[in-house]
Amino acid sequence: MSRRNLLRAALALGAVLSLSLGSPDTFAADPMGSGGKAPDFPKLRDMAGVEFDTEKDLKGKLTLVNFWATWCQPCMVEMKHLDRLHKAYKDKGFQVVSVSIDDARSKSMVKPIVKRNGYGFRVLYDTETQLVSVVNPAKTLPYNMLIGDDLTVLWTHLGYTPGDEVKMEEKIKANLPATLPASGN
Amino acid sequence: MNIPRFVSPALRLASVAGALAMVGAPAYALDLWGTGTLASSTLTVLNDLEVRYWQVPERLEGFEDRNVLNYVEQVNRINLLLSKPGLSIGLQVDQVALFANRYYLDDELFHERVLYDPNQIISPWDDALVVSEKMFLTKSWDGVEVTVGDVYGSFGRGIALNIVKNTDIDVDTSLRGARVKVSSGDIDITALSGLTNVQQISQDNPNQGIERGVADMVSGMQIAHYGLGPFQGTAHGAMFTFGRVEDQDREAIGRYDQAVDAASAGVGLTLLGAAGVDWYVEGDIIRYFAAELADGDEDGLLGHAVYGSASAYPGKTTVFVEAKHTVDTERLNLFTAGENYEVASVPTLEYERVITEDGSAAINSNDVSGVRVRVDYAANPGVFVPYLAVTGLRDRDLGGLHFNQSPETVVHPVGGLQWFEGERVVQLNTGFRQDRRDDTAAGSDRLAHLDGELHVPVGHGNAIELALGVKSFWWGNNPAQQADFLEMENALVWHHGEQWQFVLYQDWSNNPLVTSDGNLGEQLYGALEVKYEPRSNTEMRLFYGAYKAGIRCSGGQCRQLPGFEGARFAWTSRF
Repeated sequence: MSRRNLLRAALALGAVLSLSLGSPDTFAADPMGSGGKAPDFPKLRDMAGVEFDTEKDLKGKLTLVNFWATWCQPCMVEMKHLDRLHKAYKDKGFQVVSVSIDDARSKSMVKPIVKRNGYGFRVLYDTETQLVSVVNPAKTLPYNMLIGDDLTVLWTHLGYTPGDEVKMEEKIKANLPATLPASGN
Repeated sequence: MNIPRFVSPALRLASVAGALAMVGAPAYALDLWGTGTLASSTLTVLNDLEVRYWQVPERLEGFEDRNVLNYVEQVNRINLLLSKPGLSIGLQVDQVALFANRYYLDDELFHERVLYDPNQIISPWDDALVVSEKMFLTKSWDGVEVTVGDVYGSFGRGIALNIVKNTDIDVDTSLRGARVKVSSGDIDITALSGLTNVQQISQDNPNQGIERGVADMVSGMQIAHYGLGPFQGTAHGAMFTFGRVEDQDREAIGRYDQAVDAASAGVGLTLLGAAGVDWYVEGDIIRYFAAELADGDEDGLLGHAVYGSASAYPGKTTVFVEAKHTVDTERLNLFTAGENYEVASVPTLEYERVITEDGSAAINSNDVSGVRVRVDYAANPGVFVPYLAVTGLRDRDLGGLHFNQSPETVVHPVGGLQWFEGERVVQLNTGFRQDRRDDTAAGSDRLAHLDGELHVPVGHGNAIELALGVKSFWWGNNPAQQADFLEMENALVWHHGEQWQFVLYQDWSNNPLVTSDGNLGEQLYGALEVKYEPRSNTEMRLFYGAYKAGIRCSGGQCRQLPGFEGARFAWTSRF
């Protein structure tokens, strides 16, 4: 390809980017912080077969919903920090709800991973990707969504690099509910 | 002969990309719809733009000194999601455009590569295509959830039905139809039916010769009963009508009029905590009616599979055992394998990350029995956990991908550890696999492998990460004898603050089955990548260099991924 064509391609890319980026204000805010409601959770079951109830299990608590899979290596590293956050703030109205999007083939491997690391948070099976499809349609992992006690999405984050948990903890501390939910964890 | 003149459709096609990317621009989670039906809805947009400059090693005959065949490929994927309590509407639109894909030679216009088959796909542009890949609408009431559009299905342990999105290898086949899930107390009933909808535009692979494909009909149902004390049970079944090449021009809905080609049925039983052990056992049968699937037998053919797993957690130890026995199960994917997806898949019991072209045969075997045992010892739970695992497989299948003409026994011990201490991360896996054939003259294939990741903070917000992957393979004796080979995939990453990453990639391969050539030598590949994450919802990556072709297995599926040489820019944003 000639230099002229490279230039044209670069111009085209520039056009795409400038159109997409829009005004500098485009990225001026954390968009999901503007008050989007959390989507309805489909009827998922946890590792004990107990059904998850959006109204009962989310309302009144600050919840970090974490999507992961057994084949996702960064997820494995991140989960240790999620467990620490869950244990540190569970008495202050915070919980981690972990959602495995493993398909049926690897479902048997989910519980051993949770047990061998001693994780204390609740784990749901989303075998047919019902929940992740309406939250993160690209299904890239790990994916985290912080939901307020009024079911408002406060923050979302895709991917994990060691150190991300610091920002995650800041978000949690800043959004802990003013009053504790009636029931415990 | 005149020299070739380039024809760049870049500016014209940029309007396509621009228009699509504009859709992915500022769209916030807002109360968008006033007081109407969609009041308080949230709109989420995920936009993924990638532009690749392909340096093609081939040269136009007579013009070996010119890079006439180099081109630019631009792919954009938008996922739109509108949601409110009780309602979700999703749409995935993909767009691809090839730039600098034409040239004039002696005043005649030539296309370097054909983007799509014009007999099957209609597009106003020769070198650009826009496809609404996936769409769905989900409405839920108390205990009832109905989805119309693109749905997925995964029953039991996937043996009877497993149609899922495989993000790892960029395979996304859904069922375009409907799914209904009814939950009443401890009982869940799921029913689905639809025509397979193969994702047309690929994000990770070069887009060329895109075809519509031939849709297959899949219908299935699962009933799951929970809360029977420590027991949970499922019963499931599915039926399949596959499209043939000659069905290409027929309406896909016609699959519902055709005879059923195969049907599967099975039951699964979970027993939690019995004697401190979690148990699962499943049995499935697959009936093949179509002659192509039944080796021409008019009476059909019956396949079956049994899968079981058990996990126990004594003290700091976790013991996980799984086993399977399959006879004529994989042939259910005979029609769909050519389109790179599977409608059902038995757990492989394997460490899939290191599977080679030869090893993939056992993963996709019709007739295989095996067991895997994995023991983890949580010396410091969540922090330091070493493990040992051994897989043993008896592969009796000689058809399909098998290089060998003799049944074989596969033994694959793997060991490793995870050490997560603060921001320090060490993950290591290493193993040795041997495929020993019954015919001793045919010898055995052997594979040694090591992969790992090291992440170390070095202060002032910086960290160094090293990722290693090495495979060495020795062939036995067989008619398809290849040379032994060594492969490496390594990366060194410098994390600078929360926003920047600088990556140095290095691949090496003398695998005769690898079809690409290195950019730093025939077998040596190198590349640089800069990653910038200005916000948690935005990521940009700029890559220059090359990586090797190779096989990649994930979720029981294996796919040959082509090599790449050139430059690539990727931009992902979420609103």
